[in-house]
Amino acid sequence: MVSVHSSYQYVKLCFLGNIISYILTIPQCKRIILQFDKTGGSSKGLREFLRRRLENYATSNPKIEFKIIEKAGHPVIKGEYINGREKAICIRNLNIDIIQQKLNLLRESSGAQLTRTKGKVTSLNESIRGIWSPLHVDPKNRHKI
Amino acid sequence: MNSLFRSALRSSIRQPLVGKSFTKPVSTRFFNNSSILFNQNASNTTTTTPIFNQEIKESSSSVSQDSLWPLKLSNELYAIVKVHSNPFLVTKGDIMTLPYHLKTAEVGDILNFTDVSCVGSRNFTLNDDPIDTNLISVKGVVIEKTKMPMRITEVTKRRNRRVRHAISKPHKTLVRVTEIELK
Repeated sequence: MVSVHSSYQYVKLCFLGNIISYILTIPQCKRIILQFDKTGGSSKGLREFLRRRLENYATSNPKIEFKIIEKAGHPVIKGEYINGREKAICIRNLNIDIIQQKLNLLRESSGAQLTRTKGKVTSLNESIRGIWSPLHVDPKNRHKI
Repeated sequence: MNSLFRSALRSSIRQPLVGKSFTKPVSTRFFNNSSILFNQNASNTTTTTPIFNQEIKESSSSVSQDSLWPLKLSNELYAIVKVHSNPFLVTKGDIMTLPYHLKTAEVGDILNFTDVSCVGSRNFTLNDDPIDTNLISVKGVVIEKTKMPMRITEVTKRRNRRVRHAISKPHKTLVRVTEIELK
């Protein structure tokens, strides 16, 4: 009924966890693409951002590559991630401050698909306290009918 | 092995803790007071000291370092960490999902959790609210700041054909627990 943990397994898990936690400290977003229109009214905010704030923003994030593309249509920002996925946000008619928030959102996410988790904590470890069983309780403390 | 320890140390460990829990003054603590260490220059940064630090030292002075050695010997530890008084039961390597946007910490920062109410192994537990920060250290790394998937709820009213679609896409931050240790 009660599972017994082997210490070797735990050490292995800890080692794996350390590696994973090290990898996850590296920024997951490798490239951000800023696509704007030269004359369109909807990309007015993005053009303002490129002119005023991009230089500071790029220097504060040296590990991310910023790529600027001129293309007709509504403006789009795209984030490319280490896991091979891509996230795109349409930013038509958006303010310069809101565009910076959207860029932060791309920078801070890990590229994984948005999923709903079941509980507050997700873990690979076995439960440390074990599963309670009535048969293993000391017979002095057991409930008597 | 642990059962042997328990029989030998029952008198030394259990009794002071039981008596303490009733006499201890209640002190409220918040996550905002806990210090944030940055990854890049952890040794150089001046960390902010928690406000109620002095109060805890006085109250939990009765827990001696020697009485904790069965916990120190055990391989596996669990802890109940409180973030904004929201409890999380965690082990090393777990991922906590906080249902809000942590503005003060960036991705890759190390968080020191000071509000820990319980640390234990399979047979032993140390309960206190909160446990003294001189006894234990629980740390976590901010992995990611994303959003939950978009949810659309249909809001209706009686005797009215109109249906309003309320869209919600709340923030969340993921924190991986990297360290649960007794000092």
